[in-house]
Amino acid sequence: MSLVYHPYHLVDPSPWPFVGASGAFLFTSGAVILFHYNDYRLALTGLFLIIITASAWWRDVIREGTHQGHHTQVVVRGLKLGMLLFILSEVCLFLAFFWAFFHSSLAPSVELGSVWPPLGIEALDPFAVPLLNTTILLSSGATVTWAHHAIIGGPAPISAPKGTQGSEGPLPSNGATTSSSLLSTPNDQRAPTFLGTDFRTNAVIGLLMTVLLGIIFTGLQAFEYKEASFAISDSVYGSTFFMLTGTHGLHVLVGTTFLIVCFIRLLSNQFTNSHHLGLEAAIWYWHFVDVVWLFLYVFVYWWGS
Amino acid sequence: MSEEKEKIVLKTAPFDNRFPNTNQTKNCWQNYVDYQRCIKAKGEDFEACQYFKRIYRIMCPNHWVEQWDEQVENGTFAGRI
Amino acid sequence: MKDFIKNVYCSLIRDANEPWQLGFQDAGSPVMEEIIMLHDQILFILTIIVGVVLWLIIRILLGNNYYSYYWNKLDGSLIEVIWTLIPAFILILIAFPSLRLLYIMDECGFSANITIKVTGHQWYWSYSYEDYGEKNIEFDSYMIPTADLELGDLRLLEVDNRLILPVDTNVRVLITAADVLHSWTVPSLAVKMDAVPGRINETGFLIKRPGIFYGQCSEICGANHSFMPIVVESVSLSKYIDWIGREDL
Repeated sequence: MSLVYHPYHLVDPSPWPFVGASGAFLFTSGAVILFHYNDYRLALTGLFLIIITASAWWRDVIREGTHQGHHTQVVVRGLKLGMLLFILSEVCLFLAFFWAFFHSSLAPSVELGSVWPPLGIEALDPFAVPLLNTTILLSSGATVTWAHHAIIGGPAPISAPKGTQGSEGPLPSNGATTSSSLLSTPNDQRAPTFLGTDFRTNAVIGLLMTVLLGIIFTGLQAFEYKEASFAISDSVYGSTFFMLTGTHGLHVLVGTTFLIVCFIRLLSNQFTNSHHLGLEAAIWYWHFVDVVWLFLYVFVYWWGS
Repeated sequence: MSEEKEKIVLKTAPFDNRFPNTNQTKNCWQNYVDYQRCIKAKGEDFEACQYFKRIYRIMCPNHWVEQWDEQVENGTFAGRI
Repeated sequence: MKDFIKNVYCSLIRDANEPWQLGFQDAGSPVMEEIIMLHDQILFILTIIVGVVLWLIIRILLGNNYYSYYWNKLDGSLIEVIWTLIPAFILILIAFPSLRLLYIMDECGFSANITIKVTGHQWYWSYSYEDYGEKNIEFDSYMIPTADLELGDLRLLEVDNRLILPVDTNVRVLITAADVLHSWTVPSLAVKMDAVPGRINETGFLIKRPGIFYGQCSEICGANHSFMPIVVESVSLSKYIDWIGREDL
């Protein structure tokens, strides 16, 4: 590894942009074929390539960041900005769907009888499962904060002895540690505790609960979909409802997966108190999904029924 | 012929403040629904209901009215009467 | 000779588009007069601008001042102020009459004496008059095929049933479509209104003079989009009332 004199991470050549783009192309054209000819093979191929790309690319990012120490403070700042802009673009996506919803519901067209929900639509009771789901998501926001604080309060990265590879170069302290930080109890300080147990156990429990709450939420939503008396083709009500809640559900799945990855990384001791960008991004994303749900609950489930 | 001529009055649906825009869909709709509500409450022969009927006949495309009449008859009309 | 005269006469009295036409058709309604007026106003300003700018360009490019003041000028606050304020002033000069006209056009259907309903179909228009109590006038208006035209008729513009309207009367037009998008257009009357399924669009006009006004569907609506023309025939009020009273309608 040659010495670099700048804090930036110049990435190596990688097949993933090409494979990912091919997957996206095959998935979209495959979706057309699926809708028109009910043949799912091309769509599945595309989806498979996208999943392969996502897994392998992020595996590479973890290797670069955690194991090779490429994620300097400057790089971390850039990645954070990137994540924020990504979430902003997601906000725009949901804004568009909410726009469609308000356009259709604030002045319902005469074909709907000028009423919302339209005649014949039996809207879901907002104070049953949706309210439960609201509390579940809000609790998951709390548990993920618990996990986050346990990690922040946890042990600092063990600085590698001088002369070893990890601390070489002009890189600022960046938490480029190998798997040694959280598992071992440092000798020079008291074992950190929180709620009676050590920080690591707290982080593990908090994150595990978050993931479980996310899964329960998805299960309850699936149950609601199954129980709903209307479908996506039942007027603009069904279209906007399932478009909004479906896109949100998809984001819950992505957020849960993201948190599961973070959970596995936590078990493998990849997070330190100062460097846990992946978890931080996952938490931001989870909070974003949470906020979208609050809007969904208030406007679509509650006001919209 | 001349008798026929005397019957014709150049009078049409007046401007309705509730619908000042180019889009007059709800103007037609509201008068149709009002007529249905009126005859439900007062009966088909009630004189005042005829006003709504006249307005919606002027404002609504004929194929809409035919469709809605059919729906009202079958009890599948989307509006609340 | 008689045929020739009839041909020329017919093309003269009809308000339709003509080959290689660049300008507007003659106005048939006050709003159209205003539109032409605004257009001429803007074109007047435009001529001055184009003239001045061309003159400046030619002067600077071809003048004997190649190495003079203008070529070496890097900035100048005075000229910046001048060429910001003058265009702004000109734009205001255009904006006000334009907005005024926009509001006039918007209020066309407000004080109507007659309401007609126009429905676009693939590929014909249908008209209906419901103002006159139990008498319900409703008819379709198809284009006359080229083979059936008579001498003096306009190809692809004549219809079998014209929309009959009286002169000097405020007419409200309610436009919708039964299948796909269409657009009901009569250039001489300054009307171009989209016909949208599930929606009623209101517009209006006042026809100033008796005449026959031609237009064509202006929203691509399928294979025969070019073959669903619009013909409005304006007649005197008494003739209109006679027509309304006809037994066969």
